[in-house]
Amino acid sequence: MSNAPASKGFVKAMIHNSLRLAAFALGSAVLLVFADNLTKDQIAHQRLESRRQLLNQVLPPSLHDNDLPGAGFQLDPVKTDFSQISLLGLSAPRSGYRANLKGTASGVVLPLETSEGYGGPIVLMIGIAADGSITGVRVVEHSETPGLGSQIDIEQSQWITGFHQHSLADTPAGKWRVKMDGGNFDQFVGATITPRAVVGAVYGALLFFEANKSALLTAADQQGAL
Amino acid sequence: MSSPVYRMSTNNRLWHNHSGFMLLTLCPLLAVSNSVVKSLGLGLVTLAVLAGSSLLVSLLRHQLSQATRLLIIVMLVAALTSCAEFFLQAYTFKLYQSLGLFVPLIATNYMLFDRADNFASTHQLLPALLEAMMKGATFMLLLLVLGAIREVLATGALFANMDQLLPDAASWKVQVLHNTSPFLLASVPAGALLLLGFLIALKNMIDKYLTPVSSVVAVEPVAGSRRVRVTGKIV
Repeated sequence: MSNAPASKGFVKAMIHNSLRLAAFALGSAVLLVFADNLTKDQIAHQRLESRRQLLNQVLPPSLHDNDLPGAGFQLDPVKTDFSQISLLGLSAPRSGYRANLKGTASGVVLPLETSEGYGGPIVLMIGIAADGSITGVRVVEHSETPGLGSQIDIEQSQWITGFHQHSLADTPAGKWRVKMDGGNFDQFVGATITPRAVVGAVYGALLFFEANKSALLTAADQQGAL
Repeated sequence: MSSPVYRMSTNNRLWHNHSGFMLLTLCPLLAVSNSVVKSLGLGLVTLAVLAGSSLLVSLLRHQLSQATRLLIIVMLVAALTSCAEFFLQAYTFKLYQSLGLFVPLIATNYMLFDRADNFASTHQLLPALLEAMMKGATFMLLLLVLGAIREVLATGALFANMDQLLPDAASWKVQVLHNTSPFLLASVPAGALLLLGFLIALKNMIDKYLTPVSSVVAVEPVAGSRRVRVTGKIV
């Protein structure tokens, strides 16, 4: 029975330590709630602003007079709202955005993905005007080799602007390839795989737009109701 | 608690650092240090979290029992890192995006636990704060040196995109090298590792030059110490 006081002390220490830990956890939680409340609105604003900037890059403000981030719609790769959605290569649902100019549909911004890159999936945004011509393409996410494949990023090279103005009408099917494969688009020195993936994805997006043109542009007229 | 401690902090941490510390914080060091703005950003956030956690641990050191000390320190560091993440996201969103995962990963930086556990939990406020600042400053300095060298080699410019951190600094960019093709190795982590190796070699050369060999003595292990010292002490 000599260990009775010792075990009593042990229980006491355990309770003390548990309470101490709980007190610190509570303190940390309060700190986090406080910091979260302080920054929440500003963070939401920054996210929206950053999205708006990206959307305005692929679909210039001269081509739309509505607020693009507020005109989003879902593109879900497993649903059949749109035909041939697999052309966009999406691995998860992403948002597209409808553009209006003076009350009529003026274009659409589509998300697209490709796994044909050199270092994992590449996520892009493409702006397509109502007449089917590209208004802009930007890379949103990639993990291509720095200095080589990474030149698809506008921060590093202007290559991605080479798609502007092109459409299925002015570039025949066989020319939506990099020059090395007999197409119309440049590759980089030392990196062919990445541009090939991007050109393929952009072509896919144009085909998707063509296949769903009426759905994408007609629905845009009703977006005020969304 | 007065001058010897302060002197120890400034001397030992700023220059006579355990080289082990560099290795333990290697991951963010190599991944982030490809431009000055990213280096400065991560350096500042790490410094802030380090100073904050040391401050809190030192203030509350009498409330920490042997059994719960480490748990509490881990929790405080994680909470402070999350706070830093919130603020970084709110006010420097672009920088937050380019630092990516390495902001939350500050919470796993061993340097933070080491300082909070081995120094702040047994020292008063000011020494603990100074110690943390010095340690953080060393890390930031190293990040900045690596960042500057890599940015010049890889892009030929210096201080690009500084407006991500300071709104008025958009024009700070200086083109240092002209008409050169980018040195690819400098922009990838492997190049950073090589560069870090050269920097450590340089530091060792300076140390060797400054210290006569005879003054390096082994330190007797302290009786009852729970940790084994594996490094010699330079007297």
